[in-house]
Amino acid sequence: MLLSALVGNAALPDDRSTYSRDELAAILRHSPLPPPPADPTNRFADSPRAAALGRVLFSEKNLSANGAISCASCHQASHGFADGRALAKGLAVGSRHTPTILGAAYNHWYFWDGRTDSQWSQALQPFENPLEIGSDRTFIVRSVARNDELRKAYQALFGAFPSVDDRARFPAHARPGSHAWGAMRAEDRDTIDRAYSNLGKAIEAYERTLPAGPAPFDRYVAALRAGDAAGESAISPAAKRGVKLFAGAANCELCHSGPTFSDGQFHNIGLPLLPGEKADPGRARGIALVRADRFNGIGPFSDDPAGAAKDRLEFLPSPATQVGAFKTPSLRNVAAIAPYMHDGRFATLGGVLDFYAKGKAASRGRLVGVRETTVDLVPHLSSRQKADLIAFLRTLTRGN
Amino acid sequence: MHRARSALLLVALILFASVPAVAQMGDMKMPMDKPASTALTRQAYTTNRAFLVKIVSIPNPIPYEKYFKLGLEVYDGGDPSKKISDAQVKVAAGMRHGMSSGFMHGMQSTPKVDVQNGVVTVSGMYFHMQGPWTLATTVTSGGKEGVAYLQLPCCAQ
Ligand code: HEC
Ligand code: HEC
Ligand SMILES: [Cu+2]
Repeated sequence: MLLSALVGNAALPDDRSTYSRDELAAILRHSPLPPPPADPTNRFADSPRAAALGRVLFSEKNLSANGAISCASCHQASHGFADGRALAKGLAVGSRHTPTILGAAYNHWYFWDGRTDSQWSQALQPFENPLEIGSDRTFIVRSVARNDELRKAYQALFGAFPSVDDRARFPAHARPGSHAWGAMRAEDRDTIDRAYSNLGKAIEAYERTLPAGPAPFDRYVAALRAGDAAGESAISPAAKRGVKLFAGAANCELCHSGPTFSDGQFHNIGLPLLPGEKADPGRARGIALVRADRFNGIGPFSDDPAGAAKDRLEFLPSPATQVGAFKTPSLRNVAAIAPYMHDGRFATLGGVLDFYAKGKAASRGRLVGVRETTVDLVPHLSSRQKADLIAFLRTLTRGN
Repeated sequence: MHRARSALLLVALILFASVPAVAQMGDMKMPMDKPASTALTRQAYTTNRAFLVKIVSIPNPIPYEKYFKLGLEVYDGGDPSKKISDAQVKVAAGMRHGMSSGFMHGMQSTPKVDVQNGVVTVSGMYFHMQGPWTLATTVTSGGKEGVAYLQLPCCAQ
């Protein structure tokens, strides 16, 4: 009976028989890509009107210090909502690589180091980052107040726009850390923070409308599920060998799991410091920052302070275990968003695969923190295996 | 197939009946359990046999990438009918990935331990990887300390 079951399986006209049970289970978990999970900390996360306002804010250069930079300067549609650069460049060059925002809505932690716990609180930081947009929240809120179109859009969602015209109370420029901010009354600072957080919520609503899939890989998995042998030609034989490796022997699956190809967690994969590169503590610092963030999910601006965000913040791991750990990036659209890693060190997917294929030898040099030995479960990969994995990764790009 | 399974069951029953002392051992898998690599350990002695740690509540199956709680009780290793209500318990969970001791990696959370009426509640457990996890439970009571290892399979698909 067992024998006949096996024979029956081998006789299937489609690819299912080429995968082990565990490989097949993992492959099926990768697709389809469901809609992003709800974000209860933002009541407007799925409001089309909020998205329309967010879309304008996302590419509004007049909110920047020099009138020339917006979110869209670094998250460019033509570059898969990244920028094609190794290190981000706004007002100046930063120390981290720009990730895509496609699929960001599936995360629970934002930035490479997880220093915010929502997409709306994430959006507030680039505005004030001196290397990026270099502006300040008081200027931004006042700019929106003075723009009829934006102010009306805001009011239709969040209610009356606070009056921020009184220059004695609301200086032209003020942000935490500045003298002017310290001189403001606490309730005036709250007024600014409230409006500022709402702008972030509108931006999140816009970003959530940007689809990360489906990709040819999803068509392939749909065909696998249906036993539709003809449909399985959605991806090439090389890509199929890559799928099998990824979900099986190469163990990529351990961290790049599920529909986004990310566990949403943080790992130190042992990237040695490049010549001249400063040690980046990664999540070890991100944990302290997200705890201290006034805009976090349990803070006064969250729409669900007692919800899931509470558990996430309460049970954060000890920072000491997270030195040099960075967020596992989603691999959806990965072929469209070179270069790679938190510091953009690899120009191509080939560079990434060479790193993994070399094992421990690739981590010689100065490491920040301790390399997670899980990476040792990635075996040596031959040139052909690397090429197969890349062929597979290319099938994760949306709509081609 | 059917006949093979009932034969297995019979063997299992015989084994179970003939070695009751062994069946008490925490590390032992009952023969009708799933393969050892993925089975849940319901109870285990600390390696020095000072204590027996039992899981009294756990979600079945364990949810993937979600916080969950489990309940533990501690018994005297020398007299497993004697419950110890004042034990101090510390936990750490991780994955071995074939290593015989230690963890290849831990959890991405810090669980909290709360003892009430002799039931140890561990909250903030979180599994981010499919496969068998190991819960190391360090028990301290009456001047003795011991570590029990319980295997927890991950996860609901
Ligand atoms: C100067 C280039 C630049 C600008 C301008 C910029 N970003 Fe980014 N963005 C980055 C970089 C670099 C990171 C990663 C930084 C880090 O991890 O510390 C990032 C991270 C993100 C992330 C996190 C993605 C994830 O999965 O963690 C989102 C979302 C995002 N940016 C949205 C925005 C929004 C919204 C704006 C405008 C308010 C913006 N960015 C402006 C470069 C930029
Ligand atoms: C131990 C967990 C782990 C394993 C196993 C793993 N990765 Fe990664 N991967 C990561 C993390 C974490 C990063 C980001 C590291 C950083 O920037 O510091 C990453 C980065 C990448 C990137 C760069 C993506 C980008 O947008 O920058 C690619 C591509 C990638 N991994 C592919 C793979 C493949 C293929 C395998 C299997 C051969 C694999 N990974 C195995 C955790 C892992
Ligand atoms: Cu693991």
